[in-house]
Amino acid sequence: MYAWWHTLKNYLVIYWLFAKNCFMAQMEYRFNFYLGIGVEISYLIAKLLYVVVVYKTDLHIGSITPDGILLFVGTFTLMTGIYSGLFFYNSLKISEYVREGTLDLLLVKPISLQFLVTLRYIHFGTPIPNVIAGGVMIVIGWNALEIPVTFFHLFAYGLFLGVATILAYCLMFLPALLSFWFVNTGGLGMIFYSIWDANNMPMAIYSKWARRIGIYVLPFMVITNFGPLLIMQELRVDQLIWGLCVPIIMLVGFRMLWKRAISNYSSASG
Amino acid sequence: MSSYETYNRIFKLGMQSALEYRMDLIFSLLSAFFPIMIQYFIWSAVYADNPDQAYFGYSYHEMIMYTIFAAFTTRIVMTHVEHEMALDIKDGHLNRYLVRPINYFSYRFFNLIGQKMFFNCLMVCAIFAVLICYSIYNGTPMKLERFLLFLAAVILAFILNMLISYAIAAIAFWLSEISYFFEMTGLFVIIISGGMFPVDIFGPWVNAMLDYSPFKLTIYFAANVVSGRLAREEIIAGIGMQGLWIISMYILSRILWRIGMKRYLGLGG
Amino acid sequence: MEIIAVKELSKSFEYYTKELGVRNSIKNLLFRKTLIKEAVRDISFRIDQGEFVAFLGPNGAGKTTTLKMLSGILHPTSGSVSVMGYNPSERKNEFKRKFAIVMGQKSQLWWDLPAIESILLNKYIYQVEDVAYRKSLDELTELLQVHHVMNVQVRRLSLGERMKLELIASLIHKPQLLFLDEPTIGLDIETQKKVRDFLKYYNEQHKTTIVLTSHYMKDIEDLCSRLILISDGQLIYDGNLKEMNGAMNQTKVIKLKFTERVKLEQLQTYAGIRHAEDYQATLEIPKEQVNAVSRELLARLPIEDILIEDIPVEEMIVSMYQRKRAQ
Repeated sequence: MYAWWHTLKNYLVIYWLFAKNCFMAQMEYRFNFYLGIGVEISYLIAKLLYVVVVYKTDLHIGSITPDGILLFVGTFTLMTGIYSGLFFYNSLKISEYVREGTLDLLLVKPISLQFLVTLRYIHFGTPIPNVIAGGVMIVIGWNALEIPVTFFHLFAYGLFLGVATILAYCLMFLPALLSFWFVNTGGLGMIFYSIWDANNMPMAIYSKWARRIGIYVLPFMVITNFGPLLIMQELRVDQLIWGLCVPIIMLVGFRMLWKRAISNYSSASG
Repeated sequence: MSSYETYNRIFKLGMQSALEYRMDLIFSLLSAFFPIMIQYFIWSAVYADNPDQAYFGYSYHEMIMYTIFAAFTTRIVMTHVEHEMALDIKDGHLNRYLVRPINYFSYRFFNLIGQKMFFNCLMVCAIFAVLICYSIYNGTPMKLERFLLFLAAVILAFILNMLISYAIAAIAFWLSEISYFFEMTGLFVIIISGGMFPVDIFGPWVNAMLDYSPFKLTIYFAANVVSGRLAREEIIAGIGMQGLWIISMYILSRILWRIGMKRYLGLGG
Repeated sequence: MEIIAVKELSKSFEYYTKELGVRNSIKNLLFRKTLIKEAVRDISFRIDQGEFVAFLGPNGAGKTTTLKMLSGILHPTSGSVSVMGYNPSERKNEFKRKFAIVMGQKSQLWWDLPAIESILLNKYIYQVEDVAYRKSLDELTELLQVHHVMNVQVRRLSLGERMKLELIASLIHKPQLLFLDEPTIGLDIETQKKVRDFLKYYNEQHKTTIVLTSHYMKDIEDLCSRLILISDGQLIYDGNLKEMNGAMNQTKVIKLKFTERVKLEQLQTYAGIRHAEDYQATLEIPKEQVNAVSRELLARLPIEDILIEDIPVEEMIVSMYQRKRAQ
């Protein structure tokens, strides 16, 4: 137990150092830092056009009002911020590690390679617009729907943000992981971004089959739908159970694939 | 060697480099499909309650047609040529063109056409296929004339957009860190050109302002030509406007580049 | 005490070829011709604690591949490796904390930050206690004299300074075993010497076992008591540098300078003329004849100066490679 706690503490310290180092490195190029925020704002504006359309057409999806849709869009925007801050840059780096052989130096470190490779870089600028805008939309939507701010609601929503973060990790690193086998996986990455963007709207607008695939095969839709649905009391019990199991299943699956990828790297390359 | 042969060669070089990245091409075709799907579902939900109502002046069918054609047209018209030009300016590659007996703009233009030729033909075929499906589905005969007018409109839109990019690229003479900047302007140009939603959603004020800009004449105009919302006279007038804007953008961008080039040479490359 | 034991180690991997042109690209899509490269073939050796060993060989001989198998980066195709009692390919953290690898062309330092930040990160990754960390850091900065660049962003440093800091980052956890893959590549002569002096001192002081690959003969002559020659993935010599002279080289070189012009015919009685012009000549003579021949030369020719030397190591090694290939 003590050893376990000690290891966890050590990993947290190292993650803190990653964060500190990234922050210092990004401050070296302050102009780029601000421009990165600018780019993210323009993407945000593009996404907000959807909100404009929703309110201007007074769009109701089943029982979900425009305010309800805002809660979904807000969750999506916040998750985009989290993804772009914590994972995006790392997923770009993986194929570079493999191509240029930098992975060799990471492989000999006495620490989990998966931790080192997938969490080493944190971006501080790009998530800012998305996190702020997402937070504001969530608060507005939450208030307009008159959902009481209870401990249970906050906990449930927070829990599903955690689930969403794990799923974002597993799904969005998938194309990068394939670069251990194939040299160019940029195209697949592009497709995954497009699927990610499909979460911009509540899943209720999609057809039944698209929803089934999005929940049970590639669980993208769990990421932004289950949290809002739960606090709106629209999440079915079977969905709730699936929502709590799927991050574990995905993590285990991802771990197995990761190990395959690394052993392939060690065996097949010279 | 005649200048025809020179530019023919540049055109072919562009085509070859595009073929080098053909896997990317296939993937970018596939990823174009998702935004169309999302918007299709959104508009279906919007019109589901009152199917006969028009939103922003579009009937359901018109809106779906617009969504599909605008997505295709965006991919035909949009280029990353401002990034390439900025690199030429930054890395001093521009010198290479200055000392050779070719015109930089013409070089970029023919190279770009070569690069986009294959992809754009594919896109035009896709649009043609959609039109056929649509007319079979509705039992209405397809109007070939409309398709031909669209071809004219989209070619002009391509040239016009290239000139807009050319003008924007001149900013690289003054700003140092430019790739992020072009990411912003690129997206902005797509939005106000109607690449995501019809420009009509921005309301009458913005639209009135955009009437005095060339942006509405690229994606928005071409997509509406083929979706059948515009009358023949409006299309002819629009094509005329495209021509006028092409001439004015050409003059504007030449002026900007001339000023920028003076600065470039003044700084000693 | 034995620290590395390698037995019948082999490594092969598949690769593909692609010929030029679009047609071949399409052909490759359907059918790719697989070729097998045997990077390392059936190598065996042992290394004891505290030794300073050099791997020498031409490009692509399999030096780096062997080093990567010793450090667990690559898995062997066959054969066994034991390093400090561990099987490297299991990649146990306990094992990783006991060695370090430095690759001359790859850096573990954060480019935009002062090196001290990367070193501090390694303290936590290798779980070095505070006191030990301070002590190692002080000692290493002192030895390599890099106080003044510790707080400067790595990207602003010279290649030599970067290599020194790379060494500090790698040695901060006091490894028992250090692998160096071409550590002096691209460095100027003065920095090369400093790095060599440091390595020599560190090896003697801490009894750290060091295995090094290099192209530079000077690295090896200065540092390594033992030499392992690899060519085409095979081990062709393993032993002392001086013994190699003795064992492999039964000839000596005699360099002559004359006071007046000497004709070629006057030298022709001796076999092994390497080079001869008016006022000087170089002869290769079997070891046992050296005394007799030099006496005779002094008697017969107008000699100003006579030098008797071993064949330079580089030349010897090149001739060994050639002999190997001819076999």
